[in-house]
Amino acid sequence: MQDTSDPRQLIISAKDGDMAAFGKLYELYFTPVFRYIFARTSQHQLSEDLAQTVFIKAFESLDRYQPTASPPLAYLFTIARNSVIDHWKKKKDILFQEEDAAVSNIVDRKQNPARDAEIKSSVGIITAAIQELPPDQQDVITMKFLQELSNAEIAQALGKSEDAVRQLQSRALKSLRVVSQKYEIS
Amino acid sequence: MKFPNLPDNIIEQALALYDQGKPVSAIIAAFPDHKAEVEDLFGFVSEIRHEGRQLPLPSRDALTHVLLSVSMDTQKHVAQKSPTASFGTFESFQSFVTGRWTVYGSVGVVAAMAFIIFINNFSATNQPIPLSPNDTKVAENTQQLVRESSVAQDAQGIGAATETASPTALMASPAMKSAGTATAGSDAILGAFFADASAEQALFDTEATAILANVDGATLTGLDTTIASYAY
Repeated sequence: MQDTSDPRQLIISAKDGDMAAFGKLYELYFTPVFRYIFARTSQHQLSEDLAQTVFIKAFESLDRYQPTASPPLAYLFTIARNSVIDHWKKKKDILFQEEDAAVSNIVDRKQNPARDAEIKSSVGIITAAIQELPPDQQDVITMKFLQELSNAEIAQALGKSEDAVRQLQSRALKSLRVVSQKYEIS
Repeated sequence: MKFPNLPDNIIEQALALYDQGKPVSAIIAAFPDHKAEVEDLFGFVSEIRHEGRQLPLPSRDALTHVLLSVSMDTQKHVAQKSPTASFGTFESFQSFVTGRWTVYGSVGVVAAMAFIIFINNFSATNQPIPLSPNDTKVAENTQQLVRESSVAQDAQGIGAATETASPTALMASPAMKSAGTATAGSDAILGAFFADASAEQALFDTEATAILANVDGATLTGLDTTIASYAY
């Protein structure tokens, strides 16, 4: 294995079957991926399980990954995002659109005040509030302000233009502020 | 509620300046009409970042579990990429058995069948070749010819010791004449062929002698000179 910490080079080596390179990628990105999922679910064990799934899926799909198309972290966040959506879909055991997933999550929490209180006590108000935003707004807030990805990286991960990402950030910040103020009052 | 009252484009511009690395104080100063709102915006962004840093870390167990899972997957991946690689996992061995063995088994059955067919054919070629009716007739005639020849030789007092008797005499014997029906056709054809060839040769010799007789000595001398001029 080449002695490099460049994520793109690591993923190219991993594509060629270099297990050590994939191990290094894993060490670099497991925590960000876990935190991304945790910000979307607020469940520690579930986030670990889904983060594991993300890396296994990433490894299995290495042949299809194009290093020039998106940076490795954006690629992993894309898989993580889909894994979270799949999880909510399976949990509800119904098929619904991505926008409905957030609504379903909110309804679930409103119907279960104990669970709502647990989330607020285990994570901060903002993290709890993030989960009430529409999925694309959750993505942009998590990637931009929790993971500190650039707008270009977020655009690649979400399949949107950078202008669209900027507009989405603006709306997401406004929504998050409104929701978190409600939490503070309650 | 402060910054949510800001128009979207102001928020976008302020965040763009932040992405460019401008200090927050400079950005706030860049929007004098919305100073309080922009200040509130960056206060909120700072709060989000602070909470992001407080998010829990995954447990060590989770890290180990993923490494094991990925390791097993890698062995499968390598085994699939290189057919000569040893079996990485039981699953890869199982897939080999159920997949490739089926092909090998089929090839083996076909090879066994081909071998059996070959053996049968080989045995068949060692059997006497069945004779056609014409062949049988020729064979019978030949045997009859030999028998009659022996009888004729006995009648004429020719014993085994006189086998060197001239073929002409043998051919002239009644036995040969009577048995010669089988080969009479071919003898006649060959005889006619040799007769034609002899006649043709005799005709050629006659014509050549006549031509040479008509050629005078001077012509022959000229011919010799011409031939010599071509000689190297």
